[in-house]
Amino acid sequence: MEVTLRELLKRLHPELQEGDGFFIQSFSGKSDLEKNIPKRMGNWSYGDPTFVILRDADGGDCKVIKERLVNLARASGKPFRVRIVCQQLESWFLGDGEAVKSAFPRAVISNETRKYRNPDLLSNASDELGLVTGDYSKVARARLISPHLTEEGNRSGSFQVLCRTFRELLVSRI
Amino acid sequence: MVVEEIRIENFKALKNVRLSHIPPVSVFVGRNGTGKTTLFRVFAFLKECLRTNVDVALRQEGGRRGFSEVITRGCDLETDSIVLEIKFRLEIAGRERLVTYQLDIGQEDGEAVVRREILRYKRGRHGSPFHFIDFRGGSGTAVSNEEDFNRPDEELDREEQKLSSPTTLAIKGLGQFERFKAAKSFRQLIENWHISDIHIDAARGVKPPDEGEHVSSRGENLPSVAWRLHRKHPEIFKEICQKMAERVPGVEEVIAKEMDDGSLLIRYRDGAFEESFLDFNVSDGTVKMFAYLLLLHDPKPHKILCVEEPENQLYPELMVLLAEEFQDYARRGGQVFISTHSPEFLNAMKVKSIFLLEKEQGLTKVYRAVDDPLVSGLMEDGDKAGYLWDQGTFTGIGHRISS
Repeated sequence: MEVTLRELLKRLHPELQEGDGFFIQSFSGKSDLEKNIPKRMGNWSYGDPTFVILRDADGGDCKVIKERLVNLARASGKPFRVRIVCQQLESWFLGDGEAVKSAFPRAVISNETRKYRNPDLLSNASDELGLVTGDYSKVARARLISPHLTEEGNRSGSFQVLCRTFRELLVSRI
Repeated sequence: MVVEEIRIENFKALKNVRLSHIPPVSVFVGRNGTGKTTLFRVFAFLKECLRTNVDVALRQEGGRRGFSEVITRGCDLETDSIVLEIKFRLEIAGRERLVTYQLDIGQEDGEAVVRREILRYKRGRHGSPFHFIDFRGGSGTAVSNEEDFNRPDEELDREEQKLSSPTTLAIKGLGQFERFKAAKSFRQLIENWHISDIHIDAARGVKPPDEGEHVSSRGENLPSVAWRLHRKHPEIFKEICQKMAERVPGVEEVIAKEMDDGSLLIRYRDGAFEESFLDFNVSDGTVKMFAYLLLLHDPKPHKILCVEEPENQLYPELMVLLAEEFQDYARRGGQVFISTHSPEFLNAMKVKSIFLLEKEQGLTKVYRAVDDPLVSGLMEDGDKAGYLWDQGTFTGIGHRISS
């Protein structure tokens, strides 16, 4: 996810430097994330960032997860947004067939593929992406596909929401 | 603690690097290729310059083409120099002073030369700098009555000296003589600067006796060191065994054994079995951990120690022990330079010990964690460096630190 976010932010806002204009903090699994939310947000004293907490639902209930993360974040008193990817990050890739094809020219997929009309509803987007690309490495796929992702035309609702979130937050800074 | 500052110019990717306020324990982190190994190679380079000469050292570092390979890309081969500068503490005339050693290496007519070599001390804000040693291209002057250095310049005994070759260091030539005390001290400092590079396979097996009582760079004399330590300082040896027993599964005791023909070997006894194991039959990590403990508990420790990636072959929980051992070594007066990729090791470090390396446009930049408002702020509030490193918090440190 870190790879994808970095690519996204680099392209949406090339004028921002990672580590100064935006920061990416990666945690190892959901309990690591939850344990660190109150501390990291509470103790952050550099700049005045809005914290966007991003997690894959990966089988869980999106609403329940969101509520729990919101409660953890609220305690810090800092501005934040919680965005849950339903169900897996790979839905974002399946939502943009052209991007997948740019990274994997032999992939049989397009922006009209019926099967991926609503990629956020897939329970096994990662496996599907593996079938389509022939590559089962999450990191390798993210590295190859992310640079080609575009907002317009991406059929993943959660991806659209995230892009919109970033735009709003970054515009409000100017 | 001895070394306060190190400045490097034009040594490979280290075009302009300054390490200042160097603490007793310095830990260098950075992605692969950011220059950590190059930094440690500077230490080895200086040692080799002293041991032989700058020509040999440059070839060892840069291959056949020596100087042109070692000097930073883009430099003028005829006019630019590789510069190494070390500020260190030295006792002169009963007091501890901050002395600077500067070495400028260049190339003239295709041959490597020492362009300038200075050992100097600044006599307060108003005094002129006192040059113990001042050499150019193989000849220069050296002061022989340093204890009188408070005297005006005219009263100092400056000897004209010529070295055997413009590739030899003055501190090598002069450092042999008792009367050049500062040179001698600095020479000993560099000679004693230990670079640890344990080769586990080399450390195993039956060894000849009399291989010294200090762990060598590669560690191949482990049996000799263990044997001597066991005989001369049994209480220290016992402590080491205890630490091994506590942290390394399957090692209750380490035995240094003398064979009939006088050769030595090490056996490790697992509490569960009667017979001990030959060191060929224990894991790499066990041998390495034992080697580090012997090194760090040396009754006559090195003043300066360098270790690259001590975590290799060691399981994560041992990192805490190792980190504590290095810090303890520093508390007893040693200075340590360590590079690491281990978050567990980093977690045990204080903010002032951490240096981060980044490559910007092919050149290495070094940042102190303590100068980063984000990282130092979070660490002050209890966050651990290893976790922060792992989570990506160090990223972009260069943008946050205004020079």
